[in-house]
Amino acid sequence: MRKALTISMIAVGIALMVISYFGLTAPWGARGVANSNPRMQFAPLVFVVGVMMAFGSALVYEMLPDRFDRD
Amino acid sequence: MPAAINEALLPRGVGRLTRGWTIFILAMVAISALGWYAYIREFTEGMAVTGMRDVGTMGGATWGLYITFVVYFVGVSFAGITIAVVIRLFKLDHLRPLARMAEVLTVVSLVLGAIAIVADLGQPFRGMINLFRYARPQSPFFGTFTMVIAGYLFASLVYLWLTSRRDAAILAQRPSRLRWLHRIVAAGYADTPAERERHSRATFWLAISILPMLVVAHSTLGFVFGLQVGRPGWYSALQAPAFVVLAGVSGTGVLIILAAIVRRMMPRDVGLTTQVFAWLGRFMMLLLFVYVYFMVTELLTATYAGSEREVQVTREMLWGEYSWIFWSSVGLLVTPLIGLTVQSIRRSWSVPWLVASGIAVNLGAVGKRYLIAVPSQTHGQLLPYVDGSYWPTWVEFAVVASLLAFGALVIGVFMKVLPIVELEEAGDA
Repeated sequence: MRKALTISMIAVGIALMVISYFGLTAPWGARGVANSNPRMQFAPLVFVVGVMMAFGSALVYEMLPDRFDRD
Repeated sequence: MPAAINEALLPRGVGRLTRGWTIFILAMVAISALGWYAYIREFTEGMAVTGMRDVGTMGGATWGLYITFVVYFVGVSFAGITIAVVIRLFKLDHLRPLARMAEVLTVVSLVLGAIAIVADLGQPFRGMINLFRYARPQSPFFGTFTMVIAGYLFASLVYLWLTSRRDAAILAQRPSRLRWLHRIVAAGYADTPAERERHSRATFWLAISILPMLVVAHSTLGFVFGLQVGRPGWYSALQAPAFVVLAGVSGTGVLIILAAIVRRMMPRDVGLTTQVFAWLGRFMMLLLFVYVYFMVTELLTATYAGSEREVQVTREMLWGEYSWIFWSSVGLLVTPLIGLTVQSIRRSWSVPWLVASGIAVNLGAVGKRYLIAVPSQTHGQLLPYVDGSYWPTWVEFAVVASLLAFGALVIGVFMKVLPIVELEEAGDA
């Protein structure tokens, strides 16, 4: 349970970072002022949440009570 | 019958409020309050109360003392967490007394860096919301605020908390007025073998992942300047690595100063031996050598065959308006380097000299950060504007002084809440 939760948090965090960075913010290599805004507002915030989630997984790994640990 | 509350039972001076500490805290609160007053003036009356003016049209600089200290604070944080992480990763047990204070230093400096950015923004709330709303990943600012302010600060806080739990659990076993707080920080930690194993694994992987992020995060800050092709003096491939190296120099200097203060304050030996200071001295010396090499390379490149504007900015630094800051900074960096080299060759280290070196390199680093930020704005115009000038007003000086005081205040309070030097394995408490 502990390991599964930790790995899930890291995976979701990295996925959020990748998706927001490459898919939701202003597109890479595109020309024109119309492309200077993010494709989804607050996409950078999604990236930040991803970073925090990935690092927050350490808290889950270490602090989850033993009764959740069935490894 | 409950045990009597007695702060003397707590190790490392935790919970014991001495007269000197109280006076120190009151002084820091007073300086912080002055900074708040200055910032309220800035917020209500606008940036006109600062020395900052538009680049070119108003002949000023939009990035001044605040940005100088943003770069400085983030730099100090770099060395803190790097040293803390290296100590844990490579199991450098003789340096373990430095780990906690290095972690605290990182968190505090990052918070100060973030506040300094807020102080630099005329409309901070607008800036904060719009960065999260519109920031472009193509801009180095994106990396600076996502990786440095969000990721790096968060990761450092997680790291500090996890590494503090064991000490908090030990302290929570003793009756004191802070027991409730120690229980919260310990968060159920019982120091069982399974918990130790988990802690060791969690901090190891956290340390491994923090290290590359450190370099990326600090490089993005260097790229904020180094990628600006239209700003002579900034556009350079050496900006990012030089940022990282000078960050290491200033941060190690602050850590030396802090370690010396802690050594003096502690009622008994906590492992901060001369050998620990010698290690810090060697580390700082190595980084100083690299930085001086970068500095000479940069100057040679800019003056040998630089563009007209590039040469003008460099000339202003070497012989013009900014020369006193430049040569003072060079002196403040090179003199400690010579002293450290001599001590290293003789294998004889003096802690007072190391502390003096720490102070000197930090003053030098602030000077160098100022020279990175300001002269290129006032004298690096590609458009036909006349040269400008910038000098901070009392408002900026007061805000920066209050940031420094606030940092000292937080570290001072931390020392009375949790041990600033980790407790040893065999019941140091």
